[in-house]
Amino acid sequence: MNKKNIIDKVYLIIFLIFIFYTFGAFENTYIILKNNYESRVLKSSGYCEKQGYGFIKKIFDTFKDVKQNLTVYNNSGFPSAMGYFYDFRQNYEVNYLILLNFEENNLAEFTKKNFSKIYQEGQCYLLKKND
Amino acid sequence: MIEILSIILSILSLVIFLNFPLNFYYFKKQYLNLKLGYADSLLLNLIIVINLFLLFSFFKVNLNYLFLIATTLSLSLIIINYKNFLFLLKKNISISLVFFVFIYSMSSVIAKTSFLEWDGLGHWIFKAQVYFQGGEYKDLKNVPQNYYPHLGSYIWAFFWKNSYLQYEYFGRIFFIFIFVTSIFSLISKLSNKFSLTEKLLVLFIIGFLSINFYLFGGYQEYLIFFSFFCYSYFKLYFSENIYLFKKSFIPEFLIILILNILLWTKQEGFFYFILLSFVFLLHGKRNSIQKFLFFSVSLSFLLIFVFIKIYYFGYLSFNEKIINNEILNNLNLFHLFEKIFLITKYFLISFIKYPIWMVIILSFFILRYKSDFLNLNKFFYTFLFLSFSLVFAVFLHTTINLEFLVPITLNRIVFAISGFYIILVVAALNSIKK
Repeated sequence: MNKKNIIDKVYLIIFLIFIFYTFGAFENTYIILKNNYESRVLKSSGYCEKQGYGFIKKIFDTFKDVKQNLTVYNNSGFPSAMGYFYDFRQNYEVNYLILLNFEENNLAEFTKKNFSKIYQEGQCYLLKKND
Repeated sequence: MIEILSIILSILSLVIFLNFPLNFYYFKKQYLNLKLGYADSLLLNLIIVINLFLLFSFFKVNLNYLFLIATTLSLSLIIINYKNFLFLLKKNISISLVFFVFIYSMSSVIAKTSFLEWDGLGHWIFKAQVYFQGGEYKDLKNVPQNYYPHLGSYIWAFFWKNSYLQYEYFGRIFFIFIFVTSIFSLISKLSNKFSLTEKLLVLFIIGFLSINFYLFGGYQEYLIFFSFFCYSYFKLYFSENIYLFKKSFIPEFLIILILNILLWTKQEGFFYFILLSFVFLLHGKRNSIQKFLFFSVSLSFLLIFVFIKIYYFGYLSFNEKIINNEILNNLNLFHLFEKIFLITKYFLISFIKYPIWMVIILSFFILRYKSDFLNLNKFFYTFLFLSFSLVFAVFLHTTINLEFLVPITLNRIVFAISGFYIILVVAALNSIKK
């Protein structure tokens, strides 16, 4: 291997490291290795705040009679994380709804529509239609 | 570790997958006179494969089987020509490594947060979920914004489903792949007076200035960017090799396939389809039979689009009614100028937001004064005028508050259009190096 070839290879390695560094790939790889997918989504999409991923997931895991497609109102300025859970084979749930980032005094609008609160964590609620 | 390996596997499987249907060596043997490189064959395969995806999206097709069949065929063709492929890889090892590291590094950014942005989570993922769960086109009826085109979501679902871990973001690596492939295909367009190191540096700078990770958060803009890129890339190629395609219908066929991607990706694709068809008819330098055929087939594709929308959803809908009160309101000149001022302001902001536009504008000036490139390829001017006019027309026509709408949408449109003009940067660099 001549000198020019070695220099070219060194340049290439430096360039590859530079690309890695520019996109933060070293740190990103470390984060991916250290945290599993679920915890990363939870961190970025929020539990009750932001898109409410954690709260919605907990509702589906805990309340087995709640169907996968239900209406979620999110007051945080983000869309809700419902898209992660949508199941096209199921009908839309009409007996339950989820509210994210709502002040307690704003629930009146929904109680008027015959819904009542059955579960709450912070400013996030699961409402059920009264029989 | 499994997740990192899965990302690497996804990137490798994309490379293998996209050696189909046109295997480079087979293709080269058959069409030696066409002077196409490996990057060109990747772009051509992407265009064909995306159109095949569109076709399959209307039927109930098992995505895993589809992937398996295409990958097996592609692998077989690679194995048959393995000596040539090994030689190609050895010869271009630096480019291949940079290409791979570029895609991996970008993928690591979306994998780190796995975050979906507004529209991605608001409605595009619902369509992707339908296909991921084995649904078909008619099942899109119940998703939010069901009247939006679905092609990007289908592709997202396809690669999501065909990844080892089946996490949602694996489907979005495809959008990174088409972006990086587009940028790297420019390497063959750079003059041989540039050394390999210079070429790689140019690609890196062009790529880096064009990246917006926000748009990898479930948006479809990179597919539009890719279509625009392919249009100008191949239009330029056909113009430069006009004698090769004088009696052939390949340009018509390919341009229509590219336009078809636009049509089924986003709502504005419908209008881009019409504008770019017009641009091709105007600047294609084709004979009347070729023009008539192109016009007829383009019109048929538009009618098929309208028919499918009406058949499945009962209507063809856009975000706005074509005829609305705002058209009358524009007769108030003060109101009209106020809106034009606002749109122009956000155009300028978008140019700053996407620094690649600064380079494109600079390239425009270099080419204007240092070469006759733009005089020979006037379609760049025509599309600039038409696309910017379309943007103004759309915003002047909307009934939605512009103060709200323009800041969140215009920059995405401006970004997508940059795909059409990126090739000018390479042309400008070549003219400097002459």
